[in-house]
Amino acid sequence: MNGDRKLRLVPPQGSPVAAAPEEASVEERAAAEAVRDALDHGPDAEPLAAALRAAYAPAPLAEADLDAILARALGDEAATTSAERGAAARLRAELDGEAPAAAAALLLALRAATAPVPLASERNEALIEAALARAPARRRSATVRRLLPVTTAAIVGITALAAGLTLFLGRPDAGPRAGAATALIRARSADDLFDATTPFPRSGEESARVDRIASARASDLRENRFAAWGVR
Amino acid sequence: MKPELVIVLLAALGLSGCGRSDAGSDACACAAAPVVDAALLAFLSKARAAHHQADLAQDDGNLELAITALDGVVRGPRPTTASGERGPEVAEVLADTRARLADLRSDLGDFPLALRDVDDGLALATRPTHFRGHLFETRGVVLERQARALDARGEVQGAARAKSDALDAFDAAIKIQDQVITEALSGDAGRPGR
Repeated sequence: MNGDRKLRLVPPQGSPVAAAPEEASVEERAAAEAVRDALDHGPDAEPLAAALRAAYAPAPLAEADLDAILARALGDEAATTSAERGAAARLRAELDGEAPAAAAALLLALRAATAPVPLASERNEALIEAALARAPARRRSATVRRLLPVTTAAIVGITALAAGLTLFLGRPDAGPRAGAATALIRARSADDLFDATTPFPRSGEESARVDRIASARASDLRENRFAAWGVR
Repeated sequence: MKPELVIVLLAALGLSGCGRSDAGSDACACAAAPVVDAALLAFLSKARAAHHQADLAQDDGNLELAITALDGVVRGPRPTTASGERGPEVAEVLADTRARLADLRSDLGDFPLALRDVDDGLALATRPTHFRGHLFETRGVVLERQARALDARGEVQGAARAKSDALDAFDAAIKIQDQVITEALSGDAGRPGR
């Protein structure tokens, strides 16, 4: 020994580095397997997995999609890619209740907030039952005795509200879309599209006039479609 | 107060409130008009294309081709509801197309057909609007051209009658346009902005 003192790296106490490496647990292996499955699912993979795969191994664009992207860059707003059409179809299915809500969850919540549907009487009774079940024991017996009249009153109330809503909409047999129908933009005179203080020129500008009318009504039609889908 | 009584009272209030809000609402007033739908837009797109076709034909001096393009709009299908109703803008576009046809036909010397176009247009644009005023103005133009044509052929009496009718038509156009402008200005006075 020459008596020199040398420094050496020592892992801190309690550090995981200090612990001996362990075999992956059954749960960890199962989780890793699930991630691998998600990555291998191709177009049906989780969005993050799909994005990772697209970055790691991008697939070639279909010719039609490339054409659509190019057309849109040149000003054709109607051009759509297959991915966009797929997303639109999924969104429509979700909005129509044909598929569980995912992307449309916010839109459905907005629809419920702006045009709530009345509670079904069964659901109303279930809520009352649940509320009564949570009531303190000493008040419960007295409240339970009143359950029948309260339920009856609630049903009568809901029926009266539904009748009021029907009267308000003015179409007793039109079903749940009646509200949307009254909100749709209706055909009307095109007067308001032109300056009322300036008569049309004696000749010419007919194309400009029909252009203006068609553009305005195209905008109205878009609004009506959004309203019919319940997303306005 | 008993809870069931509260619920029934609230429901009754809701019922009476809805009933009141229904009375005299604008939604009921316009409920008869058809909604803006794909059929209406298809008609307007067709009319738009036909008018642009007519523009190009007119630029080339081919008035017959312009007439053929516009004839397809007035003779073709138009959107109507089950009860036979059509949107006001459909009637207005058809009336405007009739006015243009009358102008083109009279330019080619076909005065009887041009005047019939004006009459058909006036049957569509029945409200006092610039569309109706424009049709009367077009009738005046057609009769003015007819008067010149008759005069050139030496038919003095016919020319004088056509000229007098033209003056009446222009007078009617001015009255309608005055009415539209006056209504617009009086409407503006009562509104914050237009």
